[in-house]
Amino acid sequence: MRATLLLANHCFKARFKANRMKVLWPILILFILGSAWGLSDINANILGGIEVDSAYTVLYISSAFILLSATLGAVFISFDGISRDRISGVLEIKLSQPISRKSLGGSLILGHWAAIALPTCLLSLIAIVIIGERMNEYPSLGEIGLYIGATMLVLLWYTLIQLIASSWADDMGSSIALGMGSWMLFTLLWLLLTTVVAGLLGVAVDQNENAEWLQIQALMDLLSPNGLYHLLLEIPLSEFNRGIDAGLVILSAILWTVLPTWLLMKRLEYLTP
Amino acid sequence: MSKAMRLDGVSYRHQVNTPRKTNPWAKSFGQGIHDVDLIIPKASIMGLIGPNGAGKTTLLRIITGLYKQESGTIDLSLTERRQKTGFMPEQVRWEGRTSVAEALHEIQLMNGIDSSPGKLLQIVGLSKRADTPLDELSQGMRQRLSLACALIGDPEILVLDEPMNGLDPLAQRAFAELLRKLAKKGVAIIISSHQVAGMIDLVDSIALLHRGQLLIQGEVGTVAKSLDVGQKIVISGSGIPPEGMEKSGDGWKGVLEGEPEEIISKFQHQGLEFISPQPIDMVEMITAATGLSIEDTGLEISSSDMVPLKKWGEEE
Repeated sequence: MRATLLLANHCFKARFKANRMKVLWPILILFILGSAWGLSDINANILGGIEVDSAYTVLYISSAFILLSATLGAVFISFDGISRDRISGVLEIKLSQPISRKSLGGSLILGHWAAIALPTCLLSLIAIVIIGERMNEYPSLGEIGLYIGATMLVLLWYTLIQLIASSWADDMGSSIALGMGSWMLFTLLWLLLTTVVAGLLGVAVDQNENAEWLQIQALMDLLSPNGLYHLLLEIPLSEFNRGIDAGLVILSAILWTVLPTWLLMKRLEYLTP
Repeated sequence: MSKAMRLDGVSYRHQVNTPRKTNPWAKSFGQGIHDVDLIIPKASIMGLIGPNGAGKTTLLRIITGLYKQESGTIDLSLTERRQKTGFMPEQVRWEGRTSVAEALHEIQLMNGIDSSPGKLLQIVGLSKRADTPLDELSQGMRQRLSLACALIGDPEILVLDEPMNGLDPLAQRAFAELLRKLAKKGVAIIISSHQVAGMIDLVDSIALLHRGQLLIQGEVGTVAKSLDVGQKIVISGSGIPPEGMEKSGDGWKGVLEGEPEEIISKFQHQGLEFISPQPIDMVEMITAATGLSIEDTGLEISSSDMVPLKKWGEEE
C-alpha cells in the first residue's frame, strides 16, 4: 500500500508539473470561479427558466461548467497515461518491475485523478465562498459534501475511462481520438442518443414536462458519467424529481466506480509492451 | 557452474491482428519461440545471438517475466523473475520534463526502494545530469538511464536487449568493462546484440537462436568446435611466398586454421615474421548454424578495437 501511495504521489507530481496544467489552470479558474461569480448574481437571468432560490441551486447549475472544464482536464491529463510509456518503450521497463500490477494500476488511478481533482476541489471551495459572500447564504455542509464528493467522483470516472482507453491505444493519435471521442460522446452527443432512444420507444421528446421523457432522460443519464453526476447533485433538489429512485442513482455511482476500476486492473494484469 | 535460471521446453507465440470482413478484430498466432531449453549460468555473460526475427527479444521478455510462457517450465515463477531480473530493453526513448533522477526514482519505487538514486547515476555516469529533463538527453544518455533502471535492487540476472545501440565506441568499451565487473560479482548476464563482432571478447558463452528455436548453447570454444568453425590465425613473412600464401608487397601473407605452435614450426624457415591469432568469428558461427548468408542474417559487423578505453563512470 505504501509503495502504491508513493508511486501515486510521484505520478501526481509529474502530471501536476506538466506543461498541460499551465493551459488547464486558466480554463478551470475561468469556468469554475467565473460561473460561481456570474450565477450568484441575484439579477442573473438563467436560460430554461430555472429559478435560483438557494446557494445550492447555484452550485447545481454551475456544475455544468465543471463538466465543460474539469472533465476535459481529466481527459487532457490521463489520455496518454499508459500509451505514452508504451510508445516510448518505458512501459517495457515499468512492467518488468516487481511491483504488482494492482499496485501499479492503483497508483496510476490515484496519481492521474489527484492531478485534476485537487485543483478542481480547491477552486470549488473558493467558488462556494464566492457564492456565499455574494448571496449572503452558504450551502449546508451536507450539500457542500455532496457537491464536492460528486465532482470528485465524476473526475474519477473520466480518469478511469481515459486510462482504459490509453491502455488500448497503440499511438498518440488514437490515444487522443479515444480520449476526446469519449468526452464528446458524454458531453455533447448523449442528449442526441437519448432522443433517439426515446424516439424508438415512441416517447414524445418535444415537451419538457412529459414525465415519460424525463424518466427516459434520467435512465439514460445513469449510463453516462455526466448524467449520473447531475442525478447525484439533484438528490437534495425536490423540484428536479425525474421519477428515479436515489438508491438507483447511488448504486449506479458505485457501479461506475467499481466496474471501470476492475476493467483497468484486468487490462493491466495482462498488459504487454 | 551453478545456474541462475533454467528454461525447459518453453514456447510462446505472439498474437497478431488478422482482420477479416466477418471479424475485424480477428487474431491469429504469429512468430515466437518454440521448445527452448536454456540454462542461464551464474557469474557469467551469455550472448544471445541470432538473425533478425529469430525470437531474441521474445525470449528475453519471457526471462524477465514480461511474457508468460504458453508451455514448458521455468524454475522461477513470473513474480520471482520480475524480482530477480534487471531488464534493459532496446532503445527506450525517455522523454518529458521529468528529470533523470525523478524518472529513476519512479522505477526505484516500483522495486520498493525509496532512496536517492545518486549511487546508480554515478555508476552509469549520469550523476551530473541528475536534474536534466529527459527531453534533453542524448541517445547514449538514455541508454545509460535504461541501464541504471536495470541495475536497481542489485538483480541476480541482468537482461540486456541490444544495449550497445546508440552508444559511442568509447561508451561501448566502458560498458563492457562494467558488465565484466558485475559478472565477477556473481551476476548472471544475458545480452542480445546485433553487433556480434565485438561480443566474442565479452561473452563467456553463447546461445544461438534461429526461427524461434535454440540451435546450440555453450562456451564459445565448444560451440565453435561443434559447428566446425576453427580459430583463424593471420600470418605474414618476407621472401618467396610459401604454398597457399599470397604475395603482399615485398613479402607474403595468409590466413590459416590450426594451432599456433604447428604454424610456427611449419613456416619459421620460410620467412615467417608475424603471427596473430584472431578471435573466433561469431558471424561465421551463425552462418554455419543457420545456413544463411551474411546478408540474410541482418547482423551488424563492427568493431571498436582501435578505440582507447574509457571508464564507465566518466560523464558523457
